[in-house]
Amino acid sequence: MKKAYITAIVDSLLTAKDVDAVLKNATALLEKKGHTRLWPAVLRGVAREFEKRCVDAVPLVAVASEEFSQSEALKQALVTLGTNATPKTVIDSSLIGGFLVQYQDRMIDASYKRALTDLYRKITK
Amino acid sequence: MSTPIIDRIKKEIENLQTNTTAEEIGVVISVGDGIAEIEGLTNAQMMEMVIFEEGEKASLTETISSEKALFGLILNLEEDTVKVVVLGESNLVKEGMRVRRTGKLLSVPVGAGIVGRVVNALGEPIDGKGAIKTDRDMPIERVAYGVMDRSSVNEPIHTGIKAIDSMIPIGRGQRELIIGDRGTGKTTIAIDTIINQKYEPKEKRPICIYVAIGQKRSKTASIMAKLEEAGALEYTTIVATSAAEASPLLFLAPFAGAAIGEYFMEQGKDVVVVFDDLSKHAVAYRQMSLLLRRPPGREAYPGDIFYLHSRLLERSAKLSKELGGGSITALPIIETQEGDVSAYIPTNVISITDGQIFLETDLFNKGIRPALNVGISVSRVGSSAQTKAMKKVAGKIRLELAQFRELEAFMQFASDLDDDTKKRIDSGRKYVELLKQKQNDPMPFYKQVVSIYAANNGLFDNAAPSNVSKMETEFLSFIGRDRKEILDTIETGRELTDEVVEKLNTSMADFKESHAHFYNVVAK
Repeated sequence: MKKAYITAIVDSLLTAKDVDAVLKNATALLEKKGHTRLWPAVLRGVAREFEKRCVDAVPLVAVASEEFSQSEALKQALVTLGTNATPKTVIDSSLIGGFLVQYQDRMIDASYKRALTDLYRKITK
Repeated sequence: MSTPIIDRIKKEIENLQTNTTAEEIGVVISVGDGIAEIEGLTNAQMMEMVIFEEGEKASLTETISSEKALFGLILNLEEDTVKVVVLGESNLVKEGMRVRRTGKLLSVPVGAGIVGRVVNALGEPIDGKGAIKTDRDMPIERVAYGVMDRSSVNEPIHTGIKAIDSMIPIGRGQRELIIGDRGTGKTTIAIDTIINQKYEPKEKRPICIYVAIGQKRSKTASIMAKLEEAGALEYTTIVATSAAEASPLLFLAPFAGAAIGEYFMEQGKDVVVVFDDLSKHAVAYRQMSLLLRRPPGREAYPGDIFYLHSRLLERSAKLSKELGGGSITALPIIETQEGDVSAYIPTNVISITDGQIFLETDLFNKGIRPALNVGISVSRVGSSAQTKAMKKVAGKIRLELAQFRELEAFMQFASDLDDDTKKRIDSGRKYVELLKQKQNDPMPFYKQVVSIYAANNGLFDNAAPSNVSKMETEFLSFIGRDRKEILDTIETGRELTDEVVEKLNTSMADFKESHAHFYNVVAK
């Protein structure tokens, strides 16, 4: 039930011109159905869903330095994740080298930090 | 300077490759009481392990300074989220934290090196003796062997406790419940059974696994010391979870014990697993289930509490010859409240197991130790596994004790009883005395056979019941000193041949003659 409300509100918000009217109608509907108690959870869900739809639509790439942002491996990783959208790139020096790319709920962590951490854990196991 | 470690690191760095495979990730949306709710992970499986990315923004040094990765176990698959129990410090898990699937079901690393060690519920060593060399991972949850993979129970496990080995025999591959109130000696029976395995020939000696579920750390330490002192730790693994640990670890401990047992069973070895105790296990599972918001049933236990214990104990088996003939004998322990065996968990486990050993507070307080109620204790499959020698001598003892229990109430009218009744009561009292045993002092089966044979054939007639224990000790040392071949023949042949019987009868006559002082007391 909660999920249905969230999807309906998000879909309406994405197409509607008047955000206030959508929220007002949603409140009225919940009140009519006796589901007012769900409102805070529905709003939290709407916020999350919005974030997911807007943010997840663009692949996020973190690179250790500029040189890795143009690498062939990164382009290949984006293909593997099934996107050809232009990624949002940030520089994260803690990665040491390589890159980390995230798209929707999948990730490819090709950073040196991850490789070295795995190596450390393997050796010290 | 080159050392093996540096060489290994160099070799690993040469082959170092970055990960190029896509991993499924989720995000923690709420966390509390050791349970994290995660959004994402759409393809996750039940009982799959996930890794919490603790050091997402941390430097390499910070990441590796946290000793090990923080794992979670997926236990609820819901419409939009999955619920995960945190296998470690749940206060390290934060909202918004990234979570990675591992694609692996929860498993414990096992190998021959695990014997003689103390590990936690995840198979990690906690005895300070360094890393354990393991050769494979065994899944913690696994479907038990099928009907065609098994053979019937046909070999005994000797507990070293006369009352059990004679009247409630346990077979290799059996599940025998030890049940009783607190402080009645349940753990002692299990520990004695482990210690007694040192009398078994090395090639037939089972590997023992003691699983401490939510026990006090002091108790586990003292058990470890006892086993070490008795020389039993060398063939024993202790899986220890303390009362201070999170309920998911307590829930996992017996499954880890079973997984370790299966590793050895598949190599054709015999294994004894003690689950101490399943009452605490049920309580831990109840806590976890309530936190996972699974619907509560009777006594607030979840609906699958029976299935939890049945699938655990079903993993004990005697494998067929084609599969190597190994076995897992399970000795689950249940603690009752005020002797109430009709409570929910005790009745569940009674119905799952192949017999039960009942211990009673009254008997314990009367000084009858082990405080075993032989009347209601039972072994459903063990008798077919009993050695011929023990079978031959044990038949009479149960009958004598049953008659004694019926007549026990009349003991206070001793002066008005007929001679036959008096004789039966006297004989029963002597059997009760004979079956008393000290803690951590198990008796090898061949000595038990000699002892019970002697009792059946009048060694203690005309002696005071209070002398029975002393007489038994002296008779056994007399046999061990002067007629050792009798013990050796029973140990190797496992039978009471006519020749042995003759030698025993002669020995008894000689003992009576040389120890006449024992028999004067009753003459009055």
